Amino acid sequence: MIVNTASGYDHAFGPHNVYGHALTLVSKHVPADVAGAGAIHLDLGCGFGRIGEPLAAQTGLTYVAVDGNGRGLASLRERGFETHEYVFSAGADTLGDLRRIVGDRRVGSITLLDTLEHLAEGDEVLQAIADLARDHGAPVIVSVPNNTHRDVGRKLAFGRWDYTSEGLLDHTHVRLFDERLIDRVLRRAGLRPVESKHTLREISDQHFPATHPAIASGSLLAQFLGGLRSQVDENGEVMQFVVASVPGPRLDAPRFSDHGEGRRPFLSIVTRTQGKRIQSLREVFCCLAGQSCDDFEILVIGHKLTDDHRAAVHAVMEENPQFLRDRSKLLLVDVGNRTRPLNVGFKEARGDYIVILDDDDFVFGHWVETFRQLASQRPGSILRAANVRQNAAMAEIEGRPGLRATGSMLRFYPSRFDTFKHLHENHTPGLSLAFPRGLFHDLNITFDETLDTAEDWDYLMRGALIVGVADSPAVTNVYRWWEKGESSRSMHDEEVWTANRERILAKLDGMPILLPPGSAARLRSANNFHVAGPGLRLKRALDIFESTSWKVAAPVRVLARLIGRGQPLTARQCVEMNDAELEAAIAALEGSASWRLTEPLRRFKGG
Amino acid sequence: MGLNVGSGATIVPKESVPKGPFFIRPASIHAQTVLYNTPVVDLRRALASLWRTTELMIADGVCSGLTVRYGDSSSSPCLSPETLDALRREFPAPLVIEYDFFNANLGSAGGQNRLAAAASADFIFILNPDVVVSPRAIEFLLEPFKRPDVGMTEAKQLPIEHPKDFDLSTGDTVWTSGACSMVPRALFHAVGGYDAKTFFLYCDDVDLAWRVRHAGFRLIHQPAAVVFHDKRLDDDGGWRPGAAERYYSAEAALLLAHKWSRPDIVKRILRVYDAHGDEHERKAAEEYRRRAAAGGLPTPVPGGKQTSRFVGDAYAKHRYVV
Repeated sequence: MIVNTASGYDHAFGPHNVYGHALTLVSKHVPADVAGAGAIHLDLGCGFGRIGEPLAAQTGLTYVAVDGNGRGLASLRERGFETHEYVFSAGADTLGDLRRIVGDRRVGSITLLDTLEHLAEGDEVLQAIADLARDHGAPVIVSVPNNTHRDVGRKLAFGRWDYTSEGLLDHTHVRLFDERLIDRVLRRAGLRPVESKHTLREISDQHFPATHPAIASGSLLAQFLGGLRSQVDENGEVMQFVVASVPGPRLDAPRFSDHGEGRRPFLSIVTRTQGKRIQSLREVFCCLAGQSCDDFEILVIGHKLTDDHRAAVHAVMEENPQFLRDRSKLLLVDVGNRTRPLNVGFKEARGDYIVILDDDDFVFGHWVETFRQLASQRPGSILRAANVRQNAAMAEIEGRPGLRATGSMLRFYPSRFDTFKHLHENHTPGLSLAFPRGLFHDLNITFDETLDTAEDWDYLMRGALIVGVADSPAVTNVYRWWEKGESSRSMHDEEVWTANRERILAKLDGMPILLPPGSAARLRSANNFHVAGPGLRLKRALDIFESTSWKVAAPVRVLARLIGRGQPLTARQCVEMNDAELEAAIAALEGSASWRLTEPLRRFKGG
Repeated sequence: MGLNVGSGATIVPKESVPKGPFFIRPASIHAQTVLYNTPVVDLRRALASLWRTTELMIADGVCSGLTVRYGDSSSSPCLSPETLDALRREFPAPLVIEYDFFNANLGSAGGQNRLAAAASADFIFILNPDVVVSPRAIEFLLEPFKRPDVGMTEAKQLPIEHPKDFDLSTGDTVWTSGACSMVPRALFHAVGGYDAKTFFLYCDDVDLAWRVRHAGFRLIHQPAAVVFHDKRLDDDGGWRPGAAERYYSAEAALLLAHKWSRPDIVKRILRVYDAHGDEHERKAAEEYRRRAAAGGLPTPVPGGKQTSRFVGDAYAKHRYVV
């Protein structure tokens, strides 16, 4: 323990500081039968103990102060409290010493505030405290500074680490905490966290220099980093972790993080199924059995399966050769829309990369291998291989349901990833993409469960604008296009697709983004991307759909449909058209009654 | 005795062929594969699935046992004794693994015939070395043989499905692919197996299938019987055959048309090869003429025109272009 000669740690009690939060937790968790029964509250590392008066008043406990700092204890004695001068030290009989201080009195609660970070032997001290608490059934409230406060982390990212006389980076701290570490330290000592009430401060004592681009609130960089940080957890603004715990079993876990994290498979394959396409699920497994690289695991996510469907999925998985069975797991999800299983699967995934392969698509033998090659070239980026689309239908022979291709394999999506095109519309099916696990597991970027279409596009873009995309022109996967039957495109109305698209675009517009090298040139010549050549036609068509006058005239199109003029053209259809079809579509749109009726609006409003 | 139309490949009178149905549970199966510089890792992958398939079929009473026999046409053995032992340990009974180093490149047809000669099982299951069967594929391929008129069955290949058309209610098709098909051993031998004298690579499977049809049997494509055949597209999304495939398939096209009594098609193909052919096709035309001049062409199959099917450059109506 290093004595801080620069500070006496004399902090006033306040409802929103560590003292206030600790008192709230003490009051809530102190056993009901000890208040007013002569029980004591033991404040270990009490400093000046400004919590003493309100705690005694609020809980009825006798406040007993323990610290190695004579100045603080003198103050407490003057204020009428029982004090004990005691320094935690390695090899001491801490539990025995504490029992002697307690004597035959009942301990109602214990606090260890702003102390643990000063103790080199903190684990042993905490174990003794846990044992004492177990003797009395007392809660233990511990606080430590949050060294992952955004002001600390962002400066550190740019090479700056400012020790101070006290505060988050008090120069006498010998242990630096994040939330996981305090949780682990408590559990290893035999204290089970039951509630936390952390103190918050947007501007910490580390918020200097004020114009540091990583922390100044007006800085774009700070906004970008802040946006990412706030998705990870709520601790970016936490000053002190304040945790209430109760005696429990000791967790048998390593003291510190294992930087190796154990062996992970290269790829986690998340396969959604409703159990209605057993034969196509069988085909998925067959393709996976033929992979040239078998460093993968398979997470089959059964979504809202009936008993029969669950049995059928299970049976197909059990049919597989041993090496596939060893790599497979069935997870059941009975709630949520079709996006929910993705979050469940990604959360469960152990692989360095995670890919979605739904039960109705299939892949070539170098699907995993190609991702692996890309990962070695551009570690940590999203990996993208080229794709073909093929029409398919069911075919039942001898009572056995099978599938048959009904069309050629078509290069429907571009072979290379273009960020700018993807800002407008999705051009990549999910099974062409492997996401680095860090996006989900470290940055907590999860699928938006309010979307039931285009959820993969939304996820791709939120990830691509952070980690970028490494692509390969190798055709490794096939997106099956059902001629008949249920698919996400048939299950949802065009209105749903359009609404979801607008929401995704709004999200993209609401955050700073990172663009890959070369983007400045693309931006300078904006007409060179997407709107060049055939893209001009598509842009014209989409401009119509996005125009105010088209939206205003929606009732006209509803009326036209009711009187039997057929379904109106949609934006999504246009995206899939070739040049000639687009020309015809634009002519049809511009010749439509709703477009002609709203011409005055465009003339005056430009919309 | 039948009419010899190749190296032992015969056209037999219908009354001389064995009678179906050929499938009586449990059936024994002889799987056979011709190797040519095949990586062991490919075989391990294929064997892992075959082993599981065998286990399931035996448990269900479908199959009494499955033997895999590899015939190696490579210049040096693909499998050392140690590797073979390791594979046998990894994939023990009920699967039986046999290995025959040919010490010569017998081609596809010759190699398959050599392997089939060693078979004693009820069915011969022909498959390429880079084919991985799905667990129920063999069972589904056996089922149509409950019908007396079914002579061969064929699996659906993934990821590149053959575009050859089939009847959507019966599965009837015009020929079956040698990449993965099932034939009763008795029938295979009755029609004389593959015509190794005429065909080295390619179209040997079409010819065998047509002789089975010529003998009065149906050929069934079973889309539920899925196998993974490790074929890949180029970066443009197209299928680009290699030089050997282009040459041998060009040569085989001429030989097949000749053998199945379509001189008109032979003439047309030669005309196209001569006028517009690439180097492989011109070489194939040259070889065909050399064989014709040397009397090395097979005897055309009487009535072959009715059995065979030539649709453009293909031997069946195709559903789409690969």
